[in-house]
Amino acid sequence: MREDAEPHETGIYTKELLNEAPSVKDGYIEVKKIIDQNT
Amino acid sequence: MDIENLTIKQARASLDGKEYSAVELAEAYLSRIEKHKHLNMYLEVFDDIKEQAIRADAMIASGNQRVLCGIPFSIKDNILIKGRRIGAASKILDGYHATYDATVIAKIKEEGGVFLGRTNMDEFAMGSSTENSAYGVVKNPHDESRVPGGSSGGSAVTVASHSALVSLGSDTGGSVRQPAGFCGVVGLKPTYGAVSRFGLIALGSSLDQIGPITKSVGDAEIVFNSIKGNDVHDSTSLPDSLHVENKGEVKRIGVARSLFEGVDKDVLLNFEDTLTTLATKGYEIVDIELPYATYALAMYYVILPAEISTNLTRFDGVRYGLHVSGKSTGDDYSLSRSEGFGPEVRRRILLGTHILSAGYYDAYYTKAQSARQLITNDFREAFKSVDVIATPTSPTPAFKIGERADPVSMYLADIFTVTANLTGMPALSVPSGFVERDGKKLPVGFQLTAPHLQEKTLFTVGYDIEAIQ
Repeated sequence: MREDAEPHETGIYTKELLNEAPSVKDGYIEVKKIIDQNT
Repeated sequence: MDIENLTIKQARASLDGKEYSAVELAEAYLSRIEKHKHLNMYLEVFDDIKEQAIRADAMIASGNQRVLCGIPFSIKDNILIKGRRIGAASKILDGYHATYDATVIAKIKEEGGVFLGRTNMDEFAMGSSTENSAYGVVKNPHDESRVPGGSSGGSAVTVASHSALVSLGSDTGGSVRQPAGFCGVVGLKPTYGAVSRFGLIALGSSLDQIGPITKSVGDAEIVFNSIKGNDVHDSTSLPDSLHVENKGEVKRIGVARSLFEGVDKDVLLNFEDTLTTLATKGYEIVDIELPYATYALAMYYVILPAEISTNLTRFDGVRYGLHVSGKSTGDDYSLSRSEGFGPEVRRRILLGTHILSAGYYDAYYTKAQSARQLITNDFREAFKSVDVIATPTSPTPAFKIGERADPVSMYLADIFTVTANLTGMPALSVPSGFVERDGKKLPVGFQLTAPHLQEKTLFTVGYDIEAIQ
């Protein structure tokens, strides 16, 4: 297996990947809140 | 331009000799696609085919062309082409565009291949008839009331109806070879690891391989040689140093007749006739036994759903494709997956999840993986005394659309093809004639399996089978 090294530059694929997500907000994939502090 | 008898080699010579251009060749295929639209083989015909062909013509004019330059390809809807729609014939990937090229696509692009469109398939490659597509059934051009096989049914039909010169499909349990057999064309499943799976939507990761569907063995060999090779993006791809061309003579063909119970009598007759003719060409036909191959289908339908259930967890309505909103994130997952996946996909996910669950994992999955090694040992033992192993590609010719509504009866179609995926060995289906049904001639395929990385052995015998036809 290849070495866990030489990661690609952060963010170079973000726009392309987020373009395909059904719901996006402020540069993130948007999902419903999972943890409710009051329960 | 004799499009019905065209091969890559002939197209190459004509393109290089300026008999016609890549644009003219692509246009000829476009008109065939239009003529055969009713077969439902394409999910999308690309709108920039002419531009691709113009680029290919420029490469040819510069003298830098390689063998696939200007050659019209159809691509199964589970192999990513950057920027283009892709969906594995499933609603759950509605609206999704590929964000990168599969390695095989990058290789063909580099050579100037022309992509005509993406082909219809069983949803997520689950099926043996292309009746499980979310976008309608595909029809067999030899008898439009019958299936083309699956899951690469659309791909096989594009080649059989001369609506593409070559197609790339994927083969997890026979999904290139079986439709090739049903449609009268050639299909190759390479050695596991010979061709990169990077950019192939995963079905069964220990079983999947991308393979060519072509009109001739020679074309299959050309495409295989162009798409094979180690890939840094696929850690299961084999080192290039292992791709050593087999220089040995192919003399002995092994046949395990104990596996042929229940095979259609006309298919069996065609198989035996082909063997007899091969014997007259100097091959020795050797009876062999593959004791554990009887259990191959059972093993396959334990291992495959298990891998499916894991591979398809990523389709959750969050990162790509269809999103159906519920009250909670959990509801979003359930609603998106219930609406997005068809019945066969849901069936196999449920089965696979059960197989991998606590209390059943060892009884089913671990046992099946152990038994898988026994089948590989059977084949290795047989290859000590023979060079290739022959079977019919399928136990029957193409069946009627709707005939096999019971999923288990559908699974039985894979009985001869799954062993190559379980063992990782390469296998080739070559057209070997026809059987008659309802006054129509239906193609049948002759399947060869060879030891790992001996695709050349397959091609050698394949050429001789072609010569018989």
